[in-house]
Order: sequence, then structure tokens, then C-alpha cells
Amino acid sequence: MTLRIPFFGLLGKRSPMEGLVEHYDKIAECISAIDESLECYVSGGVCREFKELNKTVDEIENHADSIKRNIRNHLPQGLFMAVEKHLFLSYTKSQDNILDAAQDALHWLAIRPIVIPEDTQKDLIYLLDSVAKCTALLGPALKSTIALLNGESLDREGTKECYRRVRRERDEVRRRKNDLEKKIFDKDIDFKAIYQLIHFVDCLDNMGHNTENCAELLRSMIAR
Amino acid sequence: MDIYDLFLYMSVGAGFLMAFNLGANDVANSMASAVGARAITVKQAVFIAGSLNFVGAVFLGSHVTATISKGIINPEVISDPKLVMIGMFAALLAAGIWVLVATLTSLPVSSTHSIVGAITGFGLVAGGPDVVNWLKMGGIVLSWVISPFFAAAIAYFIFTHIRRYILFQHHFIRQAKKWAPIWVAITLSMISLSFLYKTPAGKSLNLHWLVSLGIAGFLALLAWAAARVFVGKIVLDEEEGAEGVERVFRKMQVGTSCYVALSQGANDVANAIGPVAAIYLIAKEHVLLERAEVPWPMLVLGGFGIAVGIALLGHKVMATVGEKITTLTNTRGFAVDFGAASTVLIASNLGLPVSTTHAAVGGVVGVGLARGFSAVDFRVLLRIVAYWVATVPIAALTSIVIFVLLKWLCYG
Repeated sequence: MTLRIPFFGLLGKRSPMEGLVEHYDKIAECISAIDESLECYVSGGVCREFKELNKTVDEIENHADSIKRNIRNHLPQGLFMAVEKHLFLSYTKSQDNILDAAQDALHWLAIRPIVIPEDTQKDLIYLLDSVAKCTALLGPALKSTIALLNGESLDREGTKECYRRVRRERDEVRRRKNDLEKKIFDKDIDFKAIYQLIHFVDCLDNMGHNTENCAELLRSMIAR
Repeated sequence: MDIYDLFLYMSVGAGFLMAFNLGANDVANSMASAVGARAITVKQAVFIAGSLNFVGAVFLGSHVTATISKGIINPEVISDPKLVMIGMFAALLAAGIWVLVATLTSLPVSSTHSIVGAITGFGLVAGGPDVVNWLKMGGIVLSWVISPFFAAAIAYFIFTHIRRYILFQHHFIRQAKKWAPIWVAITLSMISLSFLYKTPAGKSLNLHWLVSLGIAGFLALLAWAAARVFVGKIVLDEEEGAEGVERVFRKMQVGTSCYVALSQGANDVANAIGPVAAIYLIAKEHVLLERAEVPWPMLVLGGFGIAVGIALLGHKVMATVGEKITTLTNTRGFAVDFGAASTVLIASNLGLPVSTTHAAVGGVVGVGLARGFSAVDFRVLLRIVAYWVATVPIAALTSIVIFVLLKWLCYG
């Protein structure tokens, strides 16, 4: 049928961009697992086993990886997309990096049990909240970009505002991360705990950084 | 009844079969974008395609018919006109069979390629390489190469223009209201010029080219004014989003669908009627005259055959198109249709038998290159081109086989 009507044969059956939304949904799942882990630390162990949480995140990451591979591997040379292919591939990489950073964050938290100083607990939760908000803002930005590229929407200004929101939240993440790192270094605790916490915070910051990268790439996709 | 009459009657049947196949096979290509973008329903597509293909075939079709019947081969080289008649019938039957097989097996072949390949095939066997008018043939083959590029260029230009001056503008509804009537006016001026220059009725007026241009300009102005009023009523709220622009172009796509159907009828009828006309002339005069008008009842026969093909088999194909869910938007569909129809109409006016399918594919590629579609699979394009290229030798070979058989039967 597709050959009979070359018109439809030529048009790709599904926009490769749509696969990105499926991949994006995995980020929220990862954030929720980290949130649970952090709560576990802060509340003093009334939670699922850490191993189990780690396993959950690994599973989410693996699933997300297979989605990413599926998107990238089904992108033949002959497929001409509404966006530059290198931008699309860079985006998939950046979005996957968010998940990798989430996986690493949980990894650092799970290396060994540490006692998080009481006055930094709140800041850590705020930082994670900020990262979660930042990644959550990427969703509307991604969907809006796809709608704009597919001609379903003409709200260019609204789409650009979505990117700006991500950027603003990323700045908030950076500010919180810097404050928190300063606070952690000032603590009179075991250096191993400081090292571990700093890495955890860095990984969270990395998530924000990659989210901002994603927004930048989306902006390039709609450049005139 | 002598052998001339026998072949004339048989060729009328074969011509009708060919026209029927044209309707069944080609209608989907011309109407796919409009139905896919939900601008028209399947029933409307069948009605528009049927009636306007008929009008195009009868009123605009004679020019290409002359090329098909007398342009590709030089019958003077073949001393026996009976042989030319048998050959033309063989070519018609071969092309008809091949297009029918393609229709039933869903291969994207071009009916234009089939008939040109079939005529060339018998010509080569009947009179050797000298019989083929290579210059003319070169022009036709070149038009096959150029037409998709031309359609792609027009579609690319139109979609880029729509994007730059409508979709990327802050007040896109206002811009759509400004530009849509201009597109309508351009379309109408092209159609009116074709009627004035290429139809017997238009030619009989013997108008000076300035007057013709004036008439086309006046009609374009009228169309522009009418479209302005009409478009103003389609979208009342200037703050409406993308749907408002698409609604304007959805209505315009109905117009471009008519434009495609008209051009298709003008161009494609020759594939069925060209050889019949040649046989008719030989049967009547016992010689293929250098200059002769194609009798209009034959064009009616061709137009009728196409319309019947659309109504019976084309309807089924269109129903499948209607069920297919696409993300095709009306602005994209309009650009594809306009590119394809303009190419086919210009080619018809130049007497070049180009394929509507080629032009439609060119249009899709053009909009795709302007990044209008989320994904265009160019691997499919290669496969389509491979079928197009293969059509000519296959049709030629089939024609040769039928010709040799008929020659053996007639001459013993």
C-alpha cells in the first residue's frame, strides 16, 4: 500500500521525535526513586531497602537505554527529518545523560551509609526538589517543540518561554548546589562522608546541567 | 469489416481499458494529500477526481495526445501503415496490461512511462532505431527527470514562503488571510491561461497574447477579491492558533485538489487515447498523417474511462487512504498539491507527457527538504525510482511480444 501511493510511502510512519517523550518519562521515575532514597536517609531508614531502590533505578535506566537505542538505531541514513540529525542525536544523548547522572547520584548515596547533618538535610531536599522541577519543565518544552516542528502548534513564543523556564530553574539548581557544597565543606564530619555527599550533590547538579543542555538543543531545533 | 475496422474497434476497447487503469491507478496519487490531510472526504475525492479528470481530458488533453500518437516514433520510416496500426494496438494493450497488473499488485508504476516505453518497443522492432524520434524521446525522458525536480522546487518554494510569511509571523492568521487569496488568484490565472492557449475553444478566439494576459489577470483579480471575502469568513477570530491557519488552507486544498484533477486529466488522457487516435487516423486515411486533430469523441472516451476507473477501482484505494491516519497538515498538503499540479499543467501545455505520480512525489520531497514533514524516508524514493526506470523496458518488451504475435497472425 505504501508503495502504491508513493506519497504515504515517503512519509515516515512515526516521527522519531515522539520516541523522545517516552524516554523522557523515565527521568521522572528516576527522580522519584532518588527522592525515596533521600527520604530514607533523612527519616532514618523507614523505607525500602537501598539495594532494592538501586535495582529499581538500574531497571529504569536499562529500559530508558533500550528506548534510546531503539530511537537511534532506527534512524537510517535515508531518513530526512524536520530537524538536523546531529541535533536530534545530541539531544538523545543529553537526555540520556540526565538519567545517567541520576543513576550515579543514587550510586553515591548507596556506597555506604552516612549520617547527613541535620541542618543540610533540608537543603538537600530543596536541591533535589529544584532538580526535579527543572527536569519536569523539560517535558512541556520537549512536547511543545515537537508540536511546533510538526505544525500542530504555531506558538513559537510559548515554546521559547518553556526553554527560559528550564534555564531559570537550572540557575536555581546551581545556586543551591554552590551553597550546599559550601555548607558541607564547613561541616566537622568525616571526610569520607563529605566526599560522598559532595559527589551526590554534583550528580544532582549534573542532572540540572544536562537538562539545560537539552533545552538549548531544543532551542536550536526551532531556530529559523 | 476489414482489418482496419477490426483494429479500430479493438483499440477503442484497449484504450478504454488503459483509461480505466489510469483512473484506478493514478487517482490516489493526486488526491492522497487532500484526503490524508482531511481536506476532503473519500467520496468528495472520487467525485472531484472523476468529474475534473473528465473535464481536463476533454478540454485540455489534445496537445499531449498528439505527442504520444505521432511524436515518439516517425511512422514514415515504416512503409506499411497497417504495421504502424498493429504496433500502436500492441503498445496500447501492453501498457494497459502492465498498468492493470501494477494496479492489482500495488506497484507504483507510471502509466505515462508504460505507454511511451511500449510505443518505443514496437517502433524499434518494426522499423529499427531510425523509427524512434530520439530528439522527441530525449525531451520526454528529460521531462520525466525534470518534472519531479520542478515539482519539488515549486513545493519547496511554496512551503518556505508559507512558513516565512505566515507560520513564523506573530499575526499568522492575519498573514494567512492576506496570502491565501493571492495563491487562489495565481492558481486561477494559470488555469485560465491554459484554457485560452490550449483548448480548441480558447484557440478559436484568436486573442492577442496581451488580451489573454489581461483576461487571466482580470479573472485572477476577481478570484482574489472573492477569496478575500471567503477567507475572512473562515476565520473570524484573529487570535486563534495554528488550527485557524490550517482551516484556511484546508479550504484551499479543495481548490488545489480540483487543480490536480484537472491537470491530471489533461495530461493522462493521452496515454490511453494517443494510440487510439493514431489507429483511428490510419483506419480512416490508411496513412498516419503528419498533422491531424484528435477527434473529440475520443477524448470523451478517455475522460469517461478515467472517470469509470476512479469510481470503480480508485474508490477502493481512496478508502484505504481515508483510513490511514497521517499527521499531514493542510499547509503541507497545499504545497505538495500546488507543486504537482502546476508542474503537470505546464508540462501538458508544452506537450510533454509527464507523470502525475512523479510530480506528486517531487512535491512531497520538496516540502520534506523544506523540513515540512517530521520524517521523509528517502530509501522509499530510491525504490520508487527503480520501479519507474524498470517500467519502460518491461512495457517495451511486452509490447514487442504482442506486436510480433499480432504481426504473425495478420501477415502469416
